[in-house]
Amino acid sequence: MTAPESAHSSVSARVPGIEWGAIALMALLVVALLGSLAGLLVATYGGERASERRAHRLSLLEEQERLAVTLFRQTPRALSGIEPAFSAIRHARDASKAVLADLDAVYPVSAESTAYRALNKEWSGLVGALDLILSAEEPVLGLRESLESLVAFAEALESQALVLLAGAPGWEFEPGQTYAASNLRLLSARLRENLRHGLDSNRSLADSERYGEGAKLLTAIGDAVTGLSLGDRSLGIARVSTPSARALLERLGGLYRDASDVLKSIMSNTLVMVHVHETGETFAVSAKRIPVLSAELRQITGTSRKEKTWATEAVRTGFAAAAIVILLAAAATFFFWARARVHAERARAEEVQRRHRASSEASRRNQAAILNLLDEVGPIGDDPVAVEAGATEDLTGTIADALSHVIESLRETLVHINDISGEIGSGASKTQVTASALSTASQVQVQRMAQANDALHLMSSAVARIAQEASESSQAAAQSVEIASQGAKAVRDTISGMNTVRETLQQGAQRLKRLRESSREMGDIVRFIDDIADQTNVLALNAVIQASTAGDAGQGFVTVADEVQRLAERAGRAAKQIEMRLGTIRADADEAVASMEQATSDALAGVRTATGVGEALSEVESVSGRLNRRADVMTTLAREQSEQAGEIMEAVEAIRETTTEMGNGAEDAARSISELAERAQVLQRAAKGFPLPERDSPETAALLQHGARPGKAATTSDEPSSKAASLANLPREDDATPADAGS
Amino acid sequence: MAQRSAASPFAVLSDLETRALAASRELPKAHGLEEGATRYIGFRLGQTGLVASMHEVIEILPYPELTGVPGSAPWLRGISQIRGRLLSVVDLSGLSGRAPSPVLRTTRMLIVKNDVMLAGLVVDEVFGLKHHSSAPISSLSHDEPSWLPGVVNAEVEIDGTRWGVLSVAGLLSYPDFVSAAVQ
Repeated sequence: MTAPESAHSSVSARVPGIEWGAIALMALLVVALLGSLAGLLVATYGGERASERRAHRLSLLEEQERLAVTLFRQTPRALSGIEPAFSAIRHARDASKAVLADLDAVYPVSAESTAYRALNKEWSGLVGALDLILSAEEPVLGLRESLESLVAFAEALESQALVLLAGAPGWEFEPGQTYAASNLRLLSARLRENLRHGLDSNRSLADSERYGEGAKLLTAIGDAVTGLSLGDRSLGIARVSTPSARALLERLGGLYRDASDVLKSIMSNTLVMVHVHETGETFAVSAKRIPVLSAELRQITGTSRKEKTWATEAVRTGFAAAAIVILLAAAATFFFWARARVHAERARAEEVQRRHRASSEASRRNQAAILNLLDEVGPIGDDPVAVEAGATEDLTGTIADALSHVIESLRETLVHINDISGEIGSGASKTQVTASALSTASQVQVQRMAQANDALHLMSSAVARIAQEASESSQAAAQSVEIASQGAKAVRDTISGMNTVRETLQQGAQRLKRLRESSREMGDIVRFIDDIADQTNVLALNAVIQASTAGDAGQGFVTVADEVQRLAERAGRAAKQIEMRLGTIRADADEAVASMEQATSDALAGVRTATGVGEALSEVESVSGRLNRRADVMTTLAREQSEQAGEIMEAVEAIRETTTEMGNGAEDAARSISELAERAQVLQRAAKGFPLPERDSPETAALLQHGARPGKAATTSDEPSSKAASLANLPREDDATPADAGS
Repeated sequence: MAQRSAASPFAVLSDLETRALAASRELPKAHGLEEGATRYIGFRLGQTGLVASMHEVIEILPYPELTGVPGSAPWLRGISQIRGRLLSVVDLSGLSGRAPSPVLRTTRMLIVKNDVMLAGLVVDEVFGLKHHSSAPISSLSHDEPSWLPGVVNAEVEIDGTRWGVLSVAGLLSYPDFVSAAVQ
């Protein structure tokens, strides 16, 4: 009994020191806890700051990508001289400069910088090209303006040519002139169409080939105008002499001169335009590269974000684990402190016992049992599950039994926790892998969708161009139908005119024949008169002869008869002259009839030719009509296709949005799952604070079962031997306790 | 009135005649017809213009209906009956050794006579009366040898044209003319 007493006295002597030490330790622990909590806060806040910066970077990259797409779309429009495109490009350029500056600020030298440097270099080249394109704004707009004015000139030329062709009362065109005028009109129409194509929004203005063709057409127009106003014998065009037509021709000539001046200035500006156009093409190539580079950079940034999140999470977890450990340490300290207090109380009671020396054996045994129990339970702070409280018949037996139960169930629970948290950890890491794969896949899908959308944009614009071309060719076909029908009408007019001419000629020929007939009758009459004159002549002569035989008495009669004879002679001469004239008239009439018949047959041949021309023209008309209908069908189809492409684009956009949401959801899920896994790890680590046997090896499983059984046996009293062993241990334990306490 | 009553009716009538004659148009006078001028009838024989004295021509007629005389010379066209008198129709051109005269609208027959016979001469055309005041111009000039000797042996100049003068008497007394049978 001496040893415990000395131990008691030493305990009681040490109590204040232990208490102060414990209190100081606890204060230290509280400070450490506060520190670890502060660390946790800082880590969380810092993680949030970092993720905000990453989001900023990503949004900058997206902005830049959007700007690149805008520039890529606007540049061809600007090059074709559309004014709003220039202001859009200027705006996008300024915005992209700002974005570049921001990106420079947020991308320090890091693993991402290689990709960023490539992107930055591409952008710098792009901005240089943009400056060149923007510096060409004035010439490009001027060129477009000139081109528009040239189109206006071509339209004016066409309308004037139409007026000239339609003619007016008093104008009479020869066939060569009509040909030249209609040629003029066709050339003007072709020139107008040619130039109007140049004004399409998707075409560059630097199309020198088109201007060359336009110049050729314009030269042909000038030739036609000159031929009409001055006459061109080699082309069979006579000089137009009607004053009003000449005024029109002068107006046409003025238009032609103005148009050729404008075209010359355009062609001298084309060289500048070619340079700008090439820049625009290289620009388009690098602008296409931007989204790819940007997407790469974005992916890299997204990945690093994940790693960094992991790191932050690890720091946070470390702080949290430290806090838990400190808490546990605090608990242990508290336990020690409590035990020390109990020891002190016990020592004090023994001192009271020694002072009175009247303590009963039962109460001493009770005390000893309690002490024994406390000794047994003592290591609970270090290893709660390793403690086994012996079930004695003492006062404390029941307590020890209950404590044993509790410890047993605690051990089982811990084992379960360990198992379950391990399962949770492995399951969560699997799910996390799946979720990350899902997130990556959805990002890839979003990129693919963006590419598909761009391709669809291109396809849609191509289809729109097809539709435009088709509608233009439809217009051209309609024009040719109109022209052909005009030509057919002209041919019909010609045929009816020729028929009229033929009828008139036939009537004239008939009249001439009647005239010849009349002149023949007149000839007969004149011959009759001549005969009479002849007979009169002879009679008069005979009268002269007879009268002269009468001597002087017949002298007067001789004179009269002589006079009669002379008259008859003159009448005969006159009649002969008349007859001669009539013969001339008849010959002339015959010739006239012959030439009229020739003219009639010529007119018939002309009618036949014109009929052939008319048939050919109506053939042209029907073919053009068919062309027109085909082109209309094409236009309709292309429009439908364009609408469908738009619907597809909308659908793709919707899919992209959904996929982005899905990716975000997957990312969130991955994050939540990783948090869950960490929690599980934390739990596992906490459970590992208790020295359980390793659960992976079969030995430990057996040990676990074995370890579990004694507790169970203790409660159900299945195995008395073990209970006896524990009971047998009790006094020895009791003996050992003071020694332990003393050491 | 006193004068009229005083005058005898004969004086009145003669006065009336005198005044009427004075007021009347004179009968046409032959142009260029002088006293003692000879009247000719001009005609054409081929290309040659000839005249014959009007006294020797009885009548001018169109080409008549003829009755051929067998066995006669070619220049004797035939025999015709004019107002109950027979006459032989002679182709003067053929007689003088030229181409026979064709029968045309202008062809005429001159009826000539001498004391013993009547004859019809076929000429190509009759021009009418020709007046010549002076005597016929001597002999025929130089180259007209083909005409029958003694038939055309003088020329006259009328209005600047020379005409050969056909002597009807000479013709009718020409030996060949009388013997028309084929020899």
